[in-house]
Amino acid sequence: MGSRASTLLREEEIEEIKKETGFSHSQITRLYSRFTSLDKGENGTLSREDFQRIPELAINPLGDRIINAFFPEGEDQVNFRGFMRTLAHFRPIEDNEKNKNPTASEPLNSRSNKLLFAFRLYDLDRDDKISRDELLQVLRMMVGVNISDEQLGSIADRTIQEADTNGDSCISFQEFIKVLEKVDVEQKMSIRFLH
Amino acid sequence: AVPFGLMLLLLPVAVDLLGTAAPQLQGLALGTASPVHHLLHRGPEYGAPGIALARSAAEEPAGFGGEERDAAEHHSGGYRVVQWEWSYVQNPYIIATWLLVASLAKICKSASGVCVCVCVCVCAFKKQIHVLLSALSSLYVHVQADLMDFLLFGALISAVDPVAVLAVFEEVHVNETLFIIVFGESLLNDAVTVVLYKVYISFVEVGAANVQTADYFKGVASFLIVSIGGTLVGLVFAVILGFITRFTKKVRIIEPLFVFLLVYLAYLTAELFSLSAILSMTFCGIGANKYVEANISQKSRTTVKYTMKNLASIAETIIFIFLGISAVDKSKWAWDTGLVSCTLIFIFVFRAAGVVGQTWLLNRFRLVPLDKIDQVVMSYGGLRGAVAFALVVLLDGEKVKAKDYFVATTIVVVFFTVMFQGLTIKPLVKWLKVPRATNRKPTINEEIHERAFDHILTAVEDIAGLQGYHHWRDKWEQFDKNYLSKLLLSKSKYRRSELWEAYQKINIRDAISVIDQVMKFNHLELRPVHEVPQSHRGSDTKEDGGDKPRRNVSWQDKDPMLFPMEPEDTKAEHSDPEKEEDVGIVFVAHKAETPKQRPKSVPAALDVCQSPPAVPSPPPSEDNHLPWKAGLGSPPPCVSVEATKIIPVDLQQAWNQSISSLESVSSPPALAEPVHPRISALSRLGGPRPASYTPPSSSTSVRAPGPQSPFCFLEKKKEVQEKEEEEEETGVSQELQPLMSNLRPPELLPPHPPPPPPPPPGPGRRRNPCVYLRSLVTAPPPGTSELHSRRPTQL
Repeated sequence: MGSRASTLLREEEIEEIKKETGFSHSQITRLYSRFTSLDKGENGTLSREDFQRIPELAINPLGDRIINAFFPEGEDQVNFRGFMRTLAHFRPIEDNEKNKNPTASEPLNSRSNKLLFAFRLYDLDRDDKISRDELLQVLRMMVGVNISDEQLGSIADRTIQEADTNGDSCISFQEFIKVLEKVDVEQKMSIRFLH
Repeated sequence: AVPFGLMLLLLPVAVDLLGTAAPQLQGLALGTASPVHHLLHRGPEYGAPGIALARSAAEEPAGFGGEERDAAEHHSGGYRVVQWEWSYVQNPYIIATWLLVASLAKICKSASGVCVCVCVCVCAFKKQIHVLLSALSSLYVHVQADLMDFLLFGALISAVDPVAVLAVFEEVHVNETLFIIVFGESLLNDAVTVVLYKVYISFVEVGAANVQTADYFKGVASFLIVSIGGTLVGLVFAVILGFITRFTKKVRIIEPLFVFLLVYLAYLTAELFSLSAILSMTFCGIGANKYVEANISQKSRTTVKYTMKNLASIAETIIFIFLGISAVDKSKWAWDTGLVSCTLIFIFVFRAAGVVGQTWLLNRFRLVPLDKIDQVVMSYGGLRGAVAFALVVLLDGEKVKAKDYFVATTIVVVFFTVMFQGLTIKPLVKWLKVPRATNRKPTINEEIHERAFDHILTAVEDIAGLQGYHHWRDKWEQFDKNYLSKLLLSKSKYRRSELWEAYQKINIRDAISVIDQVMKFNHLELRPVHEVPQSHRGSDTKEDGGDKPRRNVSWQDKDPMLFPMEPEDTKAEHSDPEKEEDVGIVFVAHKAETPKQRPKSVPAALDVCQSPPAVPSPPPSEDNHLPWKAGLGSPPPCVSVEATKIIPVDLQQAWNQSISSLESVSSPPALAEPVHPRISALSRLGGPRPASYTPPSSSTSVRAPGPQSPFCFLEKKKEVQEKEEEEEETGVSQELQPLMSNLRPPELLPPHPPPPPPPPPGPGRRRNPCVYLRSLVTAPPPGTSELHSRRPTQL
């Protein structure tokens, strides 16, 4: 787990993270070692440059936005808790979790939280709406150079129209959820964290 | 089909008998001499032959009469004007008759053409357990066989058949995961089974005592080599095939030939090196699919697909007929109750055990675990078929003394699994409520967001340092984009974007369903328009209220009913038939003037369009509702019913062409959609006509908001494409203008601020779904600047 005494993970912390995110003990320690390997500055937090050093992220169309999603509003550093909290969105939904105490707060990897994560990637200005421009930006990033602006515009228009139910020509979060109701989000937004 | 086929197989056998009985020919080329003769002697003792012979009497009188005449012919000299050439045609005749009968049986039996091939998850261990325990059963059987023989038998009886699985699961429509698992197993089975078979055969020949330890390892190594080698051969041919199809733009007609030849060569090459031929073909297909599908034309795709299906059907029919014949040929097998019953029990028990065990192991690594129901289906779907039978028949009777017993057992097992399990799996699937395959087409939102999810997951995997599924898939896609696609995709296809293609498909689908809906709810019909309209006779067409309203294709109808306000135009447009090459038909939406006209049948287009209030909201079926307006119950779009163009073309030919090409184009994965064949006709609107459009007063005709937007989009798309591909003067050609106009509704839905249409709106543009669809359909023309020469098949 690294030889930096100041950044060793304490048991209590592991327990807290476990409760908050639902990861298992071994998963947490594994991810911690990844965290520390990314943390070149060795100060217990990650900055944007640390993320950008990951080579595969450079060619990912949504790479920058995803990196942004790790950082809380307005901050430039993310600690391990925050790191884990974001990653927890992608835990697979387990059956036993569905029977949990309904009064407990919604787990981070619930369907609507997963969708909220994706929604926030589109919605840069955090106004809880995906406007046509925001959608265009994302489309342009995903599609590359082969499509002209007009074509992209028509795709965006059609997308918004399909989803928009209240006529404001933006996609709100509720509309976003509704339009993806048939999609198996639990599977498509989960990755398997090795034990 | 198989049970029927088996019962009816005696029909062609009878044909065969009769054809040859007279001259007492022996040694029929088909090799069915002995069963045939047995049959001949046993005669009506069999119940079925009685039926068969009676049938044959009815259906094959030629066969009966032939043989007598045949005998007579042989002995008379001189020149015969007409001769009976039975011996000349006998072999293909009999085969064809067999195939015909079996195929007829499929019609009668309708739903359950069960030719069972189940793909079982390949596991050599499973077979071994089964085999060893079946060896133990030798205590109860009176078969002279030792361990090696039983191992051999076990290896071949465990072989699950791809054909059977495919047939069953195609009918049953289970969800994709299950289908892939089971079918994939059967494909990979070839490598395992045949290798094991060969290994054990060699052990048997050598004798059990002489087998050394090294030979076991050689067996394992042989398995690896055979399977991996076969795969590699297939992949090499896939690359070759992709590369060749990159350049076949000028020789579209022989594209299917390339596909068939190269796949066949892959098969033969694998056989040449005694590698797994089935794996070779499979991976050739898998590897080449993406590139070949992009490179070859739509017609070639259709050709390949349906030819393959037909060939497969023929092959599987022949195999099962052969199986049936061998069943009645008693000389080839020997019955042993113990062996048969033990085998039947064991194959079921051990397959279930194997599936459960392996699933437990797999679930530790799967994101979505396989649940109990999946496991039940997987084990129940273990149908043995032709592979097992072929292997057992190939045994050498000298080396394997118990061959006849094995043959009998195999036949019983195959019959049992095919008939019993094959027929009952469908009710079982229904009873267990197995998740079925959804044929839902994704909406544009789903397409976009699912792609976004993929990128997100890839990024998260990279951040978390996991080298999971998405990581590798992304790496593969990068490799593909940078190297493979450059090598194997033709230039024009390489530049295409998947999202754009998906978007276009969605638009076409929606437009088609919209038009269909319009037709239904306004009681309009599509009619091919040809010849000068003489009168305004009421249409003699009817629309069924059901899901498949029949389009009136009355070729003899020379008097399409047109709106009173436009008679002159249509007459005028008839004046130049020559301009139009054989590229399609124009369909005009006419109001059906049945005697019971709806009250809103006013000659004005506007009124037709204002019928929405009287029209019930669209039924919430998948096909019929405007997908992006689900739940709003918006009125169906109005159709401006003015005739646009009339093109006297060779309608018959154009109709056929358009049906076939558009049918496959507009709905490649789901040809079952009832909408498409008719709408395809609609889309097959003819080429450009210099006809004059009447600037409609109905340009303000109400259009439901929904459909207009895709029209708008499509128009933009079309415009863009035309700009890109044809350098066409926009709006110059009279043809284009109305098209453009149709595509751009001046006003969109009031409550929704319309997306601003970038192209300059023209005055008095009309929206006509017919012409719109036509333009939609002819979107990427093959680069000719001459609109007139658009081929109907280009989409």
